[in-house]
Formats: sequence, C-alpha cells, structure tokens
Amino acid sequence: MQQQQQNIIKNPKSPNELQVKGPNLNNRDRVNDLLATEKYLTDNLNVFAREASHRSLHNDVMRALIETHQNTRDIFNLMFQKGWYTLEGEEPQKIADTHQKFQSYAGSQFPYGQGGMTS
Amino acid sequence: MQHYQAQTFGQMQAQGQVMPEPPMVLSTKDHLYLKDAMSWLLTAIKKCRHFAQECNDSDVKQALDKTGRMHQMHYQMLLNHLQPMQQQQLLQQYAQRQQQQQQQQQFQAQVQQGQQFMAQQPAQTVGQHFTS
Repeated sequence: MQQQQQNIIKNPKSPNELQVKGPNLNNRDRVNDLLATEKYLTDNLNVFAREASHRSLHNDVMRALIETHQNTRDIFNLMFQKGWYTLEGEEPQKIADTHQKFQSYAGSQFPYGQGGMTS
Repeated sequence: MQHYQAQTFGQMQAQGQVMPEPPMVLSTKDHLYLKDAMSWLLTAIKKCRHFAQECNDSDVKQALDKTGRMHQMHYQMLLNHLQPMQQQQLLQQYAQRQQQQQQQQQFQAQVQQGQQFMAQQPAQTVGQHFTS
C-alpha cells in the first residue's frame, strides 16, 4: 500500500467542490460529458476523413479532426488540473522487464536488420 | 445534372483516361457523411452553450464556450461544401475541362494524321520518281 501511494499522480481538488454529490449535474459531470462528446466526435470525424472523396473535403474534415483532438486534450488537461483525473505510475521493474523483452524481439525478429529507419 | 455527371464520367472511362484523384464533386457518400457530421456538431454546440450557462466555475465555463465556438466553426466549414451553386458549378467546370481535353486530343490526332500523310507522301513520290 505504501508503494502504491507513492505512485499516485494527482492534483489537489478545489476546496469549494461539494463533498457530497447530489442528483443534479455538477461541474465535474459537465466536463466529463464534454470529454465524452469530444471522444465521440473524434471517432466519427476520423471515419469521415478516411471516406471523404475529393481532396478539399478530406482536408477540411482532417482540419476539424485535428482541432477536435487538440481540444479534447485541453479538456483532459483541465480535468487533470482540477484534480479530477488520477494517474498511477507503473513500477519501474515491470517497465524494465517489458523493455528487455521487446529489445530481444527486435534483435531476433526484425526483418530489416538492426538499422531500421536510419539505414 | 445527375445524368450529365454520369455521361461525362462514362465518356472519360470510354476514352481510357486516368484521373489521378477524384474530381471536386461531392459523392452520395460525402453527402450522407456531411449530414451526419453537421448533426453531431449541432448537438455538441447546443450542449456546450447550455452547460456553459449553467456553470459556476470560470475555467470549466471557458472550456465549454471555447469548444462550442470551435464546433460552430467546423459546422460552417462543412456547410460550405453544400452551397447550392457549388456542386453545379463544379460539375460544369469538370464537363468543360473534359470537352477541352477531348478537343485537344482530336486536334493532336488530326495533326498526327497529317504528319503521317506528309511523311508517306514524299516517300511515295520519290519512289515513283525513281521507278519511272
């Protein structure tokens, strides 16, 4: 438990925030819903951009998609700032294990040799 | 108009011309997606405005209004693709370009025929000259 507590990445919540949540929509609910809306839009705009026929339509949909993605990120950052989003840092040993494993795959399974992009 | 479009595309294919990318014409699928996308955006715009009005946190309010304005801009951008004259003009431009290309090709074919004729002609007369 001690270890886990150290790995929590989180901002403090505002003291003004209601401790007991009622049946009404609060600010956090609104932002959560906004994030869900942006996720829905990026998913669907992605399909539209892929299926668009001529170049000018494709470019406009791509622009809407990229800007919506950026805005989704801004909303996520806002939620993190407000202390509504909690992250947990992974244990370094587990990451090191995975790194070693995939490093060995690169050594034995790469069909283009070790150079990759640079060669 | 639809018939006209089908004809020009058909002509193009019959002539064996290759289009490097689709012409600036809305397809039926584009039209359906545009309707869908603008409907999603309109709902999103209204929701952002509604939530922003109810909201008492200035940061959240700002994020909501910013999002709503962005979606409204995207809605307008997509709507521009459906301007009534646009599709007709594009189809006409496309047909005109087709005709010009066709005329050019015909002209070039005639020139080639002429050159072939000229190339054959002296050879024949020269040949006749020698044999006679």
